[in-house]
Amino acid sequence: MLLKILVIGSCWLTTAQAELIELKLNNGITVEANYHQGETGMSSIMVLHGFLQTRDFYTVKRLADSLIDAGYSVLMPTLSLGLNRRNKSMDCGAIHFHSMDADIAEIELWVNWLHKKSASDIILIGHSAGSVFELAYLDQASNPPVKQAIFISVSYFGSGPYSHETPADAERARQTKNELGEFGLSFCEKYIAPASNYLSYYDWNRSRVLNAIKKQSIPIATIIGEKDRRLAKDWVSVIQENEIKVITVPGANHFFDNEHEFELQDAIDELLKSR
Amino acid sequence: MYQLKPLSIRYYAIIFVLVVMCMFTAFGVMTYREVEQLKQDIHHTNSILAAEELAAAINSAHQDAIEATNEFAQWNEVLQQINNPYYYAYWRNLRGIKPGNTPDYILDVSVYDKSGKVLAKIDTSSLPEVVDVNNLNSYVDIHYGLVELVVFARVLNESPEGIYAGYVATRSKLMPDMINRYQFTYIDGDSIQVGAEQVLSLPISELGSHLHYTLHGHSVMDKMINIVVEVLWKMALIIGLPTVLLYPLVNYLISKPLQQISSHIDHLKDESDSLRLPEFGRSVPIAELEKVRSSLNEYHQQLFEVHSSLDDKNKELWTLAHHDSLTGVLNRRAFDEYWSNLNALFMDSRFDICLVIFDVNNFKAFNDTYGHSIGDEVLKGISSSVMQVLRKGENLYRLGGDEFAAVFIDCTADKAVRIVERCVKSVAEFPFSEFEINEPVRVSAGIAHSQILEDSLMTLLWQADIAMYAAKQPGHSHVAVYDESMKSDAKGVFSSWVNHVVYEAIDSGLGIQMHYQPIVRLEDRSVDYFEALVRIEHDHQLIMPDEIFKLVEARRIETEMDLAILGAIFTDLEQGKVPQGTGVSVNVSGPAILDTRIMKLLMKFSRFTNDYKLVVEITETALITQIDKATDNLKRLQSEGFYIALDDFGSGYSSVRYLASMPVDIVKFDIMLIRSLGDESQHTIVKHLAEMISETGHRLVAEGIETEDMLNKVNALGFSYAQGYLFGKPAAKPEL
Repeated sequence: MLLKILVIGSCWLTTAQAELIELKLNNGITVEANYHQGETGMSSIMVLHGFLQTRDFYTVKRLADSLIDAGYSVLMPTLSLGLNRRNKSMDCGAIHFHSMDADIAEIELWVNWLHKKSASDIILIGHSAGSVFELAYLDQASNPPVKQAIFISVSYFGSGPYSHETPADAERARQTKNELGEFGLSFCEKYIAPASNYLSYYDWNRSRVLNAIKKQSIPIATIIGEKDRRLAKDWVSVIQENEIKVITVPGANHFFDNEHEFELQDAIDELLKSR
Repeated sequence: MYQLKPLSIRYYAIIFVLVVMCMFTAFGVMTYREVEQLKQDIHHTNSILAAEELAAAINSAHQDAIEATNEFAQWNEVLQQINNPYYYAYWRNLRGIKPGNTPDYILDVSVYDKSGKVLAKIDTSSLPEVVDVNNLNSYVDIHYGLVELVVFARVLNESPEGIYAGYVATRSKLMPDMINRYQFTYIDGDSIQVGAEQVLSLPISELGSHLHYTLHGHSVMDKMINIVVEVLWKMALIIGLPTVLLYPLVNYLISKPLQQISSHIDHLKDESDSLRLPEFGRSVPIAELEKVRSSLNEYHQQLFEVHSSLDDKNKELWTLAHHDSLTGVLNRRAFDEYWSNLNALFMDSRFDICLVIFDVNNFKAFNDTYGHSIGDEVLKGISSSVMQVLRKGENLYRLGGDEFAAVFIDCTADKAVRIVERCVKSVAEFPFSEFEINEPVRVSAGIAHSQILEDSLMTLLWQADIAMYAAKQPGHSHVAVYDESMKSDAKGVFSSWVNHVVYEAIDSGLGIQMHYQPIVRLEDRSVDYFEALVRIEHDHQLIMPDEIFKLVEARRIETEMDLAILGAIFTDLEQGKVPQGTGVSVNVSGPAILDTRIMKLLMKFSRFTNDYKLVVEITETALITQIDKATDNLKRLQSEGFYIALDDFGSGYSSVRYLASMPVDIVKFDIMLIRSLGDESQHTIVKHLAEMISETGHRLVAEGIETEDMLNKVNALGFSYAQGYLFGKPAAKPEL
């Protein structure tokens, strides 16, 4: 582990149970998360945002709020992506020094923190690319203290209806090794990053995601909006073909806007209770 | 006290306009000067405030730049670059100065490590490669009119040691971008500039002294001043225009109508002789003046009606005053006016002019014989006959009694004679027999002709009178033209000075002098009484009764003369001029005894009847028309103690038929009868007359006794009294 956990403190947020958790990485960057202590006996859940987003992104924030309302202890970290105390969505045009490995390290940091805090295995919930990051963590962690994973709008890199990465980008990145390059990645048309960092994401493609899910021993379920245009049309069926549980929310898009927010919550609630 | 001459309302309007304009101009100038002073004060204050404002603007821009720089320093990508500057140049160009990541006014950014060294040298960067970490003060670069602000900031390191992770610098476009964002109140932001050729760096605190600017041209005060000036102009327009318009307005509404009314009144004054005065026809716009106009017109109308009425009355009056009510021809007054106008009209002209005087022959006899009514008809017939002959424009005037006159202009004497002869003929042909007049009615006419009006007009009337007198003389035709030979014949009667003196005597009594001739009792040759005989003294000359009474009779002024004589006698009696114990006889003509004034004056003499024997001698009894009234009057006199004497008996003037009816005490035989005593036949007649009259109880007086022989004869005839030079001539002082 490159990261050295340094808890530098916490502070209460707006409610008595909510607090800001700050952890300092080895490279001096401070990462932050919101934590809400749930009811006794209730599971602890870590909810992770999507690609380049923060914990304040509305889909995950509303979901976390509903979980908190349901009595769960909820941790909502924001991945640093190489930036100290990052609290804004990162521009596609920024120079992206972060990588999947760094992200996995930060997830591991927060999982351990939550596990330590709750003294029990936790539940991981990810949205979009956040699901991929959590899956990557699970994929490479040995005996992670995680008892369930729910991946909402789970996606993958390397292709997709709205993804800008191309095999040519990947080929160019592989040839330039660690040089800074401008590529396409996910919804970023110009994604500037060292080639190796770029490839760390690019390589988590559809098959790698499916394989990683199938490989996990813990219950993993996916929730996908019926009208999620950011995902390939066949993605739900492919997941189902791989015997992965999929809950399809009719009419919902990638972000479960409007009334689908509640359907998402109901689906989550159902998955959590079914366990 | 000096009194100002009234001015026309137009001048008052002009004065008012000028005063208002002057006052407003003075007010405007004063206000404008105060505004200008205020403007200067405000400009001074604004200059100070502008300097402060500029400093505030620079400070504000500086603070903005500091804030932006600090924010930039806190950007997590900056710390990322400090921590990993490997791609700094790439990041600086792509992210650092990318619009949106920093404010637009930031031209350049630079990131330094904790030692103050730039993370990577970039050729295009205008910021220093090294910063003095001990002096991070901002400074200004002035470069050919551009002003750029360089600000430094520390990049915080969260390490407990408090060491800064690095530094950043920004270059901001202070002018014009940042400065112009400031909301200037006093400065025109676009005008702020520095010297175009200045190239220097200086502390920001010194920037203000290098900037030039102009004060805001649209400050509130400027607007206020502009508003004040605009208000002044508007006020000038609002006040000035109506004030200037006031003059023509006053002129149109008041002055002109007043002038018209005034002119109209002047016109009326000039036309005052005109019967029909012009109306003020045009209406005027002011109600009060219109009221004046209508009142004036109504007044005119009423005045016109009064004028017309007066004119009618005047005409009527003029007609009455200038026409003879009996004959209808013009009267003496009209003749006098005409004569006066003629005199003035032809003052300097030469015209043949003829004046004709007509007189009815023996008109008195017609009156006495046929009565006044017939006499009036005679006058009417004469006037109408003459008028038929006169030409157009020629008038006949009745001067009085039976005397008429006519004037012929531009007419020679011969022509006048022909016209007048036709007139005389016309009168002669008039059927007077209709009035049962047996005698022929004739007129005599005297014509005076002149070519030299100025002198002649004064004397023409006198000449015509003389000519008329001559025409009446036996042996003359009925028409006579005056010539110089007539002048001597009529000298006594018509000499102008005698005329004057006689009239003067009648009017004022001046010159009347009574002479008294004794009438003696024949039995003892003592003076019984004196006959008062009139003389008129003028310029040491005495005018005798013959002359006086010719004129008096010619002028028909017998009564007036009698009154004057009676007055003089009365005075003499009062003054005791006549010896007491005697008496005085006064001559009164027959017609005069009928006159009330004569009677009234005679009655006053009754106071002297105790001391004097007062005898009233009646002459011309043949002319007495109202014998009864005359008798009554004489009886009244008798009762008052007067004696009544019948004068000139036998001369033809005294009628024997009246002797019996009239209360006569004394009969005076005419001198002609006394003188005829030398003739045997005449003597017998006189003798019988005397005996007859004596037998009726009358006392007889013989006139003209000049010799003892004549005295003896009358004595023998039984006369009681005698009068004549034998006993004494008339004298101013009667002596016994």
